[in-house]
Amino acid sequence: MFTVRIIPCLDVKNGKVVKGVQFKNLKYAGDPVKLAKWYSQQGADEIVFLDITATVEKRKTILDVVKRTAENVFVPLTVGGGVKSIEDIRDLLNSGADKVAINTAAVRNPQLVKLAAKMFGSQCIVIAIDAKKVDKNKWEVYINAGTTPTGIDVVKWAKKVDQLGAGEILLTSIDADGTKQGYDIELTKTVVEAVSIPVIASGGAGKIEHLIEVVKKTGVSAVLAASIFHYKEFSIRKVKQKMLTCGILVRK
Amino acid sequence: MIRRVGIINYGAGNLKSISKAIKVLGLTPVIVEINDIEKFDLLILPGVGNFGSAMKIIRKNGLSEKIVKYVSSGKPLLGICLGLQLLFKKSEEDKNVSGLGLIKGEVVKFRVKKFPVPHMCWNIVQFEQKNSVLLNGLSKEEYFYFVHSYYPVVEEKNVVFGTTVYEKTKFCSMLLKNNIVATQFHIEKSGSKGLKLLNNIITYFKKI
Repeated sequence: MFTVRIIPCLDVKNGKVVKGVQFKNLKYAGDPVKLAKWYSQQGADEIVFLDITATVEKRKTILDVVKRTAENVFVPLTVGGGVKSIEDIRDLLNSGADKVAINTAAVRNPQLVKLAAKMFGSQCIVIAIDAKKVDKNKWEVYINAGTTPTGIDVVKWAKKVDQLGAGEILLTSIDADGTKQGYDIELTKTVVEAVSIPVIASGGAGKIEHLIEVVKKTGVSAVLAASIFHYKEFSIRKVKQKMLTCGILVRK
Repeated sequence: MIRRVGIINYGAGNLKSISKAIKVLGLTPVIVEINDIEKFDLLILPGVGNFGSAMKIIRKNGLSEKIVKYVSSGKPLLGICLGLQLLFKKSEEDKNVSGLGLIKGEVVKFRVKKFPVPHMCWNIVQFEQKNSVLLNGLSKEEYFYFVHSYYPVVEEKNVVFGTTVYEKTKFCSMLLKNNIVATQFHIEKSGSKGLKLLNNIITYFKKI
């Protein structure tokens, strides 16, 4: 069988959880260590930390947050943001991350993906792709926390990282992120069908129905959401109950 | 008695997770590089990396023979994920390198049609044997966290302790052979049920 993973994402800036609307106007939403523990008790299948400003501001405060979180959270922990090199990956894994998400650095140097997968195993290399719609069924890869267009086609890039040995793709729609209007179904479906590795849908969750919709319509392996969980609009438990009644298999 | 727990470091990946899980259960694990493995009461072959590169490091350091000798002395060994796969002689992940050969069978890659590979999700482990110590406080079926692209095909059917189905492939996800216990899933990343099973395994090892 196959269970869909429900993943709360904690966007972290200077050691605090924040969630921006389309990556701007950041709002404070809590302590990452406490939130991560609370989520794992709530039934989160995995937890993602994204140090959203790390690439721009060159910060590595996340290591301390990861260490403290890993002390008492026993579900998989994925960490991304500002990861540039093999050393960065090793530092995060040594701090207690189970997987590392790479975005900008992978675009700048695709060989990093290959090398990292070979050194640490594909299972811990997640490629984060920030996608912005440019035309009907066409999306462009953005880097530097969604600020810089690259001219690279999202589907082509997704296929390439699959070939390079990435273990998973964390796909965020820049257009949908923070809008609470639902995931970008077309984008997600297109990428899921283009690759052989698991895809995590991200960006746009505003209600439980959005999570159900993206799973049913795209066959995505996991759904990621931030604000709907942080502000306790819906508990993960409630999301899972609702999914089960809709015929989606999740871990009970 | 289990006092000294050694986690074998074969150069790849995250030893932190298993280390922390063992600590939560009240033991103090030590990371083992090469020598003195016979002084430990429990050895753990942890979870991530690549079959070929892991075995190359294990062989280069002469650890391979030591592990086999340690196991034949009757002392407990716990393998997790890749650590389970290393117990076999052959893996499709690297055909030129042979594994420890402690369990008969081989490790093969998932050939699924619709589902993604790696098998990366929480999945059900159905326990195929009754064991009141190992299954204390657990149901006949429990969810655990998996991340792997290869799975074991076990020749000795009596060592199959738990099975899991991915798409149509049913595979051995936990095995028990006297003083060897191994899980294909990440017991250290499987929440409270994972910690429960890990605690049971330690209790089981204390009794053998």
